[in-house]
Amino acid sequence: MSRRVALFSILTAVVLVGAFFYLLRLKRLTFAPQSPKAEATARTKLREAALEPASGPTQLVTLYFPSYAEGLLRPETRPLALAANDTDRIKQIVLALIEGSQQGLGSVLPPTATLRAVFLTADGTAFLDFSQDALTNFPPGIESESLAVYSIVDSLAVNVPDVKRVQFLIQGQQAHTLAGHISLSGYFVPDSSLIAPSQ
Amino acid sequence: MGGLHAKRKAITIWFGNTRIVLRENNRIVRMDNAKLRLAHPVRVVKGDWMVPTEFLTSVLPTLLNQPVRYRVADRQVLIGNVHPNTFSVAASAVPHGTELTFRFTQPIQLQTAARNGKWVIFLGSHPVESTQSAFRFANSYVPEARFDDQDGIPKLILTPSSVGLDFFPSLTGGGRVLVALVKQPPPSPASRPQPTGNVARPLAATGQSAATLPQAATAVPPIIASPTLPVVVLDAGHGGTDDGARGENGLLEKNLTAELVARVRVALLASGKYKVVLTRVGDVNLSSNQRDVIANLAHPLAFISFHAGNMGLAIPRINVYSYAPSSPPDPNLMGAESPLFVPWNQVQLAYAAESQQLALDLQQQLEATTHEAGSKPWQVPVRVLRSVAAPAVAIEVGSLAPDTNPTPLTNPTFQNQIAIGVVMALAAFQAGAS
Ligand SMILES: [Zn+2]
Repeated sequence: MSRRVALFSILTAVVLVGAFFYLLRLKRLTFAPQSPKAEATARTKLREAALEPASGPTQLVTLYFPSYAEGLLRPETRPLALAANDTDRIKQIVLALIEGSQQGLGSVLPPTATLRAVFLTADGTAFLDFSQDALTNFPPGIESESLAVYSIVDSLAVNVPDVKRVQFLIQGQQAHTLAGHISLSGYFVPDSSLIAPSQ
Repeated sequence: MGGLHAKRKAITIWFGNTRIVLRENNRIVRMDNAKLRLAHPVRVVKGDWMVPTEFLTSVLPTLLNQPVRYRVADRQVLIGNVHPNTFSVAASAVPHGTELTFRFTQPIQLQTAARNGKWVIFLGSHPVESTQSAFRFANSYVPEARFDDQDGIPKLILTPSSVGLDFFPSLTGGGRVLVALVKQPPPSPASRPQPTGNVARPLAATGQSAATLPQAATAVPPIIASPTLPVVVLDAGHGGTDDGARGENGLLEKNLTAELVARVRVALLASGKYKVVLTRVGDVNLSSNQRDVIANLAHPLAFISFHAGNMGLAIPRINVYSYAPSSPPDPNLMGAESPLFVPWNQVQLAYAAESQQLALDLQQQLEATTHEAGSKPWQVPVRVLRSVAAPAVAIEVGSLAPDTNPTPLTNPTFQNQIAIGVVMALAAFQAGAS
């Protein structure tokens, strides 16, 4: 009898320890941020996707960058070989925005910001999942956050017609705000009121 | 306490590494190898071990390694190096009023509020001791002052008579001398001189006495005619562990917003037209939801949130924002079936038009006073405005960013221009609404 109890105890212990390690691994997979190395790899891949000549011909794309002096977004055009696939196009546009203006306009997100994943639903909602780095070096403010968000939303809307709205995620999660001010809990529809009127 | 072991006649307590032994009906307390003799023996009443109060001052200091005092009057135990602030009070007559002078042994922080026709003077967070709880004065302006710290916050409460309506508190002597000047207002608001200090009136007293004041013959409405003044909620952005934006010289947004709110508050109270409610008092964390709840409980005329952020290289600049959702609200969630309930994240939508008007008034008046407020207000999804059930706006000054020297933002002239602009904008907003 006591031997049976001992056997049962050992079995229970083995199952518990196994479950513990499984849960630990699951937690790491679900919640833990990617390691810097993984982030760097993802970034390299993204750069390749955005900059390598894609299947489509090179065309002039319009990117909206913040013009803080005016409190507006200003268009900047540059030649880019856009991919045929919507998801890749979204990545190319966002990466070009992160890389920054070539005409001295303001930055959208810090250069350390990484786009972890993109998902476009059938109804035209683009889910953009940014790394935490997008926030840590971002100078906060109501104006700066508004311009950053609409720079991305409006640039995507003009270059990827299938994108009707954008939902921002940070590390795979819905965030309350971008950096303390602008609410990210809902999705964003393009808003042309922040774009400088064409002269 | 590390542990406890009770026998029939003795109890052993481990407090850290110290072992204390108490014996029933015995005055000797053993602490490790030392013996302490109490004036009264330890008793056991219905199974509870009781020590005399002197135990607190003789044994507890050794255990805590901190001074311990027991205040007999209110049975409070003061642990640590707490020297309560004490004060004396004197009243002297001035033309049409009385001046109460409170002299403290240590500096205080001054913050005032009006409650139920009384003036409440908050004295800061340091403990204050008073020799008596009520002080009476022989004059016709302020017959009574009371001291109260029952809720842990030391304060003086002045009860003005129906003629002592103007209140000018000031702090001198390095924060040690509080002068509370209580005066009868001049008879006509039109001929009233502009007070230089922080002046406002207690609410109920205002209502009771309005009838006794002669009505002004001019077109200017009497300032104190309304029995309850409209509330303006001022929200100092960020706080506690949330610093907000940071300037080149280390200036933090949370401190700058608190400074701006303090100035705007004084200007609003000085106008005598508003009650002011602050969301954040002191350097504490407060969520957007907590700020919105404080605002909604006050049923305010306006909610104004103050921020300072990255606005490029130009400095100083001011933007005014009202709330616009990032996407059209889902009509299925708009509470069509039960109009009494509005989703929390859509509370502000019902006030959109009023908020836009308030933002426009603010942008125009701030442009008039500072010439830095741009051409039009913004409508963007500012999180802290989302659930406010009142006209709500955010004012952002800038640029406060790591690559900009923020000195112009701390200039008192600039900050006072903002305060005056806010007072003027609220007047314009009220005039437009009526
Ligand atoms: Zn802020």
